[in-house]
Amino acid sequence: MIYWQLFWLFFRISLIAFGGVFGVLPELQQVVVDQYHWLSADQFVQSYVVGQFVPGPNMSMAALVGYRIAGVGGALSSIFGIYSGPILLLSAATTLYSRYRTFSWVKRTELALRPLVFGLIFASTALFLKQQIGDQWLSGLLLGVPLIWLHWTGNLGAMACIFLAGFVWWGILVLGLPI
Amino acid sequence: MQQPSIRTWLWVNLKIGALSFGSVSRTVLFQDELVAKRSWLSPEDFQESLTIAQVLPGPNLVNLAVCLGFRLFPPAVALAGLVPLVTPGAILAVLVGVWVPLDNPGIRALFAGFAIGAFLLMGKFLWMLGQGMLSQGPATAARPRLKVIGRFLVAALVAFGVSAGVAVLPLIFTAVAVCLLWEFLT
Repeated sequence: MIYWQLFWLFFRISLIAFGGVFGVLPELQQVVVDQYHWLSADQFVQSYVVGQFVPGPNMSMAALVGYRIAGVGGALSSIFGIYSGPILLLSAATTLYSRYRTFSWVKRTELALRPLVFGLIFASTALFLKQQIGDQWLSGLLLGVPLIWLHWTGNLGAMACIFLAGFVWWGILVLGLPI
Repeated sequence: MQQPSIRTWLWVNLKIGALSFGSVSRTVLFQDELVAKRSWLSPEDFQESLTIAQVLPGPNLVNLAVCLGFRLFPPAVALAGLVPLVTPGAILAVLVGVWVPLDNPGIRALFAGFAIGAFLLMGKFLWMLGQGMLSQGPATAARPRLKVIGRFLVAALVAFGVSAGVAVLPLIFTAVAVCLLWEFLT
């Protein structure tokens, strides 16, 4: 049954998705495009791009992939599939961590893993900027200086900073504002 | 520390779920809402949750929301927060995928701008994470400087490896092993 297949596919994928969605794209594409021919390669890539565009978790692409394959039911089973495994896993991990966090080796393990977290977040930031802005990064940074100043001085919240950057950049590129 | 409220927790999740354009910055928004604005958690508590969320598999933002939710509230409330967090993105993904022309120059420019804003926030966030790597923890090392240099070296190698397209799974497992050996042997 298609709903069960979608649930199982995304459930399986979610549990090997270390470090974000990038790592599991080839596996997902292999099943969805090559093995079952549910989507064309173009549709798959477009679903990924949409997943990056929309707000919320970056696995929202699962909803679109599921919808294209089996309508609303497909979207729901994909969403349940992608989120249920990590939710169970993280619930257990957090409960255990809270219980044993006073043990020095537990705290040291968490400290030890911080470089991995830093490296992964740094890489995804760099890749994301390259993908979205490419060779216009210098103008982007020029726009960024006043924004980041506003944010650091506490005059602009994090979300407002993102929205303002979006609309100013849109104004520069589309309306040709001489900023 | 302020007293966390359930209604605000759900509202913060809805806000991030519905408005967190700019992809990579989503984690920062939780930091902004719960640590900077509301002082529900200390930066150290946040860093602990972030480490667990990033090291285990799954969508980073959902992982982080589970960790933060469990830390602040009973499990039922923590899990209830996920509904407003994931629903808007899922609905929007379908609507955007079906109706919005993503190759339109205006839409591309808007999202490139969101990316710039997100990137700026990430700079500040990475600075905070860098500070977190300076921490010595409960057992003070005999050679603290050496320990910290080693951590930054591993972080740089992971960042370079992922950017250069090295397979993520083996890279992460190797990094975990190196990090643990470095921590407990130095």
